[in-house]
Amino acid sequence: MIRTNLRYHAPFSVEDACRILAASESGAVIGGGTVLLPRMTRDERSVLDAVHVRNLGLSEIEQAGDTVLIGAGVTYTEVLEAREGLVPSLLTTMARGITGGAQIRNQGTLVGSAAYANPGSDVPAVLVALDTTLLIQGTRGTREVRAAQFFRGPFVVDLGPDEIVTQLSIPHAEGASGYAKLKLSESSWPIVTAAAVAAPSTDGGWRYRLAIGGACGVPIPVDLGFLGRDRFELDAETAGQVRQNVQDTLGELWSDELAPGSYRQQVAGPIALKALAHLDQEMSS
Amino acid sequence: MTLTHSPAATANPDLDPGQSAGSNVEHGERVRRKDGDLILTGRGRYLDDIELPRLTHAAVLRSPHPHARIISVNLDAALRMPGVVTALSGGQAMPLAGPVPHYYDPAVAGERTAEFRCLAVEKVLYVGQPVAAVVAETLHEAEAALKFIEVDYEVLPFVTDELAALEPGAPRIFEDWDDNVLIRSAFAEGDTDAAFAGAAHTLREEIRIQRYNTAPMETRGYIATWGLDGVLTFHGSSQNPHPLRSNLATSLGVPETKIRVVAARLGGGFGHKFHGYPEEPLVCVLSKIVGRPVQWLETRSDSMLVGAREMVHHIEVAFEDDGEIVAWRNLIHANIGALGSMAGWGMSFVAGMAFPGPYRVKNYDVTSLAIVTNKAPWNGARGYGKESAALAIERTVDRVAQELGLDPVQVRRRNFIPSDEFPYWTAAKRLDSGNYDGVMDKVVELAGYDALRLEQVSVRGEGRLFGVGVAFELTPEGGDFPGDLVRGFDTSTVRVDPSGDVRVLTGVTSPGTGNETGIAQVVARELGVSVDTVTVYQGDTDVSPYGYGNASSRSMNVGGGSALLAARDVKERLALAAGVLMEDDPAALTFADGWITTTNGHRMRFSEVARAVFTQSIAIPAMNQPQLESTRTYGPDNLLHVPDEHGRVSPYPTYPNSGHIASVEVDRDTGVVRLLSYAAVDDCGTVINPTMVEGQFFGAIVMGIGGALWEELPYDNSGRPVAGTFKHYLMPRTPDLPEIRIGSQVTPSPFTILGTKGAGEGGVAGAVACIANAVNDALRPLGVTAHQMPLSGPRVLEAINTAVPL
Amino acid sequence: MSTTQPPGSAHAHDELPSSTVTLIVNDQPRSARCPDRTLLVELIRDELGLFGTHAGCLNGDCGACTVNVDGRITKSCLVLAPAAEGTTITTVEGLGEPGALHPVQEAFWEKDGFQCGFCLPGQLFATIDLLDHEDAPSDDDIRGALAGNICRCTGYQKIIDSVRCAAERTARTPD
Repeated sequence: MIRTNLRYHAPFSVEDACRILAASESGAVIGGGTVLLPRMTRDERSVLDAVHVRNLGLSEIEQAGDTVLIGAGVTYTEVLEAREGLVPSLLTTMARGITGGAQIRNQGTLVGSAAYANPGSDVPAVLVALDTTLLIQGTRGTREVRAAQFFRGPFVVDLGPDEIVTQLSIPHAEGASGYAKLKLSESSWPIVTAAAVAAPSTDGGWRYRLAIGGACGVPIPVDLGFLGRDRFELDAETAGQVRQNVQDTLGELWSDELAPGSYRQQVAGPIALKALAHLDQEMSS
Repeated sequence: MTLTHSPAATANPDLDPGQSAGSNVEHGERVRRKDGDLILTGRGRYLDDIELPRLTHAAVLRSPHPHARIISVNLDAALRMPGVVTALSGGQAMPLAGPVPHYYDPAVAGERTAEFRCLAVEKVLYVGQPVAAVVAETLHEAEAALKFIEVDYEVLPFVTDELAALEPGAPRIFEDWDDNVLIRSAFAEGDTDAAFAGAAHTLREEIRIQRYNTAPMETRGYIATWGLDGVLTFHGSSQNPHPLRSNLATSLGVPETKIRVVAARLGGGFGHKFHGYPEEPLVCVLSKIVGRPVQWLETRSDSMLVGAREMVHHIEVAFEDDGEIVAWRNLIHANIGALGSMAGWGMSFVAGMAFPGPYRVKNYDVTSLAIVTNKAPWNGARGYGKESAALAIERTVDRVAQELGLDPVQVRRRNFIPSDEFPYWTAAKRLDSGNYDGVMDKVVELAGYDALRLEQVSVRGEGRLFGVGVAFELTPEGGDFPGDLVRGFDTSTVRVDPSGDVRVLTGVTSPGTGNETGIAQVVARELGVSVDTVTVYQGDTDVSPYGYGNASSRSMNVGGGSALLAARDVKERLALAAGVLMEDDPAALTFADGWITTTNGHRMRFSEVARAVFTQSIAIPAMNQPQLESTRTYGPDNLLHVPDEHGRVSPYPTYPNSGHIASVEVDRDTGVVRLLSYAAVDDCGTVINPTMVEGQFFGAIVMGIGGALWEELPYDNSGRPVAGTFKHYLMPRTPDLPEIRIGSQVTPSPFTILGTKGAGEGGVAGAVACIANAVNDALRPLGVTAHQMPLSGPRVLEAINTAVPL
Repeated sequence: MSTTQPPGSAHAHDELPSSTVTLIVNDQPRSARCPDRTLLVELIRDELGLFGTHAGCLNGDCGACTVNVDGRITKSCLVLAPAAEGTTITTVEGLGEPGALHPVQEAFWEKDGFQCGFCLPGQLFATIDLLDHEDAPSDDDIRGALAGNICRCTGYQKIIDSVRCAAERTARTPD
């Protein structure tokens, strides 16, 4: 059970939230609570001030010009229920596959998962593949960080103790995507994920992006420049090149309770190809 | 008779072999689970739901080291923490509680033993061993105080690997033993060396089953309360409340009459709630100190400390060209952790005893070593070593088939004990009855085995790894182990009230299996009353006769059997009274539908006669049996402890069995196994309630599947357990499973009063073996085997990686 | 040992931050004063006395603590009690009662979709949630809907049979 003299806060402004965090000996932001609460219950995380996002007005998904903004309180279910075309299909695909049943989709938030930065989670690689920018507010103002820079290491992100990720800003592009992940069983968190995106470029061609999650401590963007800007064909040669690029890009491998790094290294290529196969399928349809 | 469960077949009238007669209950009737409406509406009360005034909460500080000497324990700072009522070290607990009595003491079997205290005193032997305890007003406060207990340890060298523990210089777990072997159990028949020498073929394998447990959804918990009268009331999530009471009396030095154990409704048992845990006497001692009720609940990660099943089989088999198996050799190394007082170590004995399974093999030499290490102790786990044996036996039978290019079903048929050879003796069991070919016929049909093999040819043709697994399980049940409180008989009381309502008080308990429903059916049928008028009382030692609780699929055999005998006594008295009241021969009366009817059609309600016994006896001189109550003890006839002319004994009386066929696909890139189909047929003798028996079989199969593919309790190199949550310990979930189809064959046991053999445990072992065979069958085109369980993605990919590229 | 205490530890002299939580539970307005560190599952069980909601893992894995919060099924071990301020909650006690079971409860009894009953509240809520969204769920729908709930006794087969049975009945019952 939670052992600290925890104080619960549900402030009505981000400024207040940041002030509470700044003043706290040990503060934490609660989005969905699906990760933080059990860690507090087991005394793996000692928190004195829990700042809930529920009253911050950050539970919306909104269109802002050519980006879509996803608030810190937005759950996976809310992503799934968003009106057609508002959120990228990659996010929807990912949200549908979140482990833990409808309850976790109802409770877990994308921003919460990003801030926890568990290599074995769906969100980090997806945000990188979507070229997401995280909007961050602290007592000293706001700043923006690209997802690729936000994830600094396993369970480590670019976020100060007084800061809150208020929104995800995702470039809105009528592209196509593919997502694949390997789990050992339904109970397993993802071992390796692969998120692939084809974004239409201004010249009428495509810009391809691929990010691998779980294989290393942080999501790894994989260079797909060799695909050029045309519609690609996933033949043996392309597949071989993708595998090669994945292997060349992976840095220090991640190991956890469920799988050693060597396993992740070996399966990363095949999972990447699955994601590209899904992308290929979506582009064809 | 065949019972088939599949979604399309649930409405099949063949499902009710014993046709119901009015409100009477015949064997085989699908009576709904008793108290189902209470459980469904959240009214079932489990341990943590018990409300007691002034309840306090205990938390336990556990050893962070696999092996260390305790230099000092300082409780001062913890005692100053908010809400803390008391704190206790092992040294302080010493005079308050003796050693925790063993569930079954190895010393009774003539072996070494060791003593375990409720809190470690001088040494800790495993990570997680209780070292100190705190009691506080709330669980939050008790847990918060733990980190203020200061313990100085002198860290000692440790050993967690069973082979390393056998090395001459290995750290010794128990200083007064000269090595780390608890017990060497040997089982042999015939002339194995000669059979190997004369056989056309031999092969050897090393097969490893991992450490994993049963993970019931409700963890353990205990509440101790001392009354002003000196009586200890102990609420516990326990499968065996009476033996636990006896052991608490021993440990606490309190007369047994001053202890009442009440087993709450259990949220699953499976062996995890066998007694012998240090927290049992601990909460009693703490409650005595604080003078208030103390509750302790096992955390989920605590529950993952409990080990089971970790064994390596070094197995050899000798066989002829036609698939006849002529001999087996097996050396089993069981890593039983630091022994403890729980029921786990016996699994190493059973894993050897289970040989040669369902097969007529006349030469074998099996030795099982129970090796102690610095891992946490085992407790019993559904399967109880039989899953380990079945894995080794069934994998080698498949290897034989593979070597000879024969079908694995045919090799099994070639070796089955023929049904006309029962009772059939092996070195340490007398098998009661069986029709293994019949079970195999049914499962081959149910699974569509021939079609699966055809599908395999075409799928393999596409380069995919598709496997079909076959396994046959023999499950010794109802074990009787004289010398300690683990027995094969049990006792029930049947009592009829003046209202005609019936009470059954029984020494067997139900952790959710449904035996209360089955026992009520047996009694209702005997008395010719509605099952709704029968209430079964279990788990309270002040209410039920002394009994041995829930273990080894024993409850219907002995709880049902003893209740049947007691019901017959009561029925005789009712018949005597009814005969007087209706002036007819008591022997000629029929009891049915709540009526007692004479040959000439006169009848009285069952309840009227019951009332008359209480209101008219003695006053009517011929009605001279004024009491409607009987207590009877029953055990199967096949408990054999006096050695026969060959020196053989049989501690297990009944032998349910089952056949299993599954298909899987292995992803060549990731090693991840996808279970595609599963079919199984069991034979547990007479079935009292098919719904409950099916439920047990389904649950056992999926527990076996989980163990075969995902569940594991690994240790890291520093001797610490790795799994602490269900995100590390991967339990099966619905999307992991295909539709599971089951069928049934009934071959009654000639040695039990109901013809039952026991349901509950059967299915785990067959499923473990079947999945292992299916995965290995899938890997066959690569020329590799995967013999280290569980067959998780990383393990299987490791095996795939050993394939020689084409 | 030193008396310095690590950050986040409870100090004897500190007041335990507490909140009064007002909510509607099973159609009844309820209110309870509890420390902020209380989990919703603790509030439901210990403060409101509704013991039908069970805590099996306190890690959001097993689903035994599932309740309905404002129309969404929710694992109550993952919510702080004060965060439930103003919500409307249904627990298993609010679904039906002996003699007047919810149709899903009836189906689970008839098909024997439970044994020990510990995980059952979660299975019931997951089933009801599925049937609220799908009149005629496919097998994949059913397996997906139960994915957040572990059962150790049944092997799930009779739970799945129960869900199918409940779906058929619900489909046949006019509104």
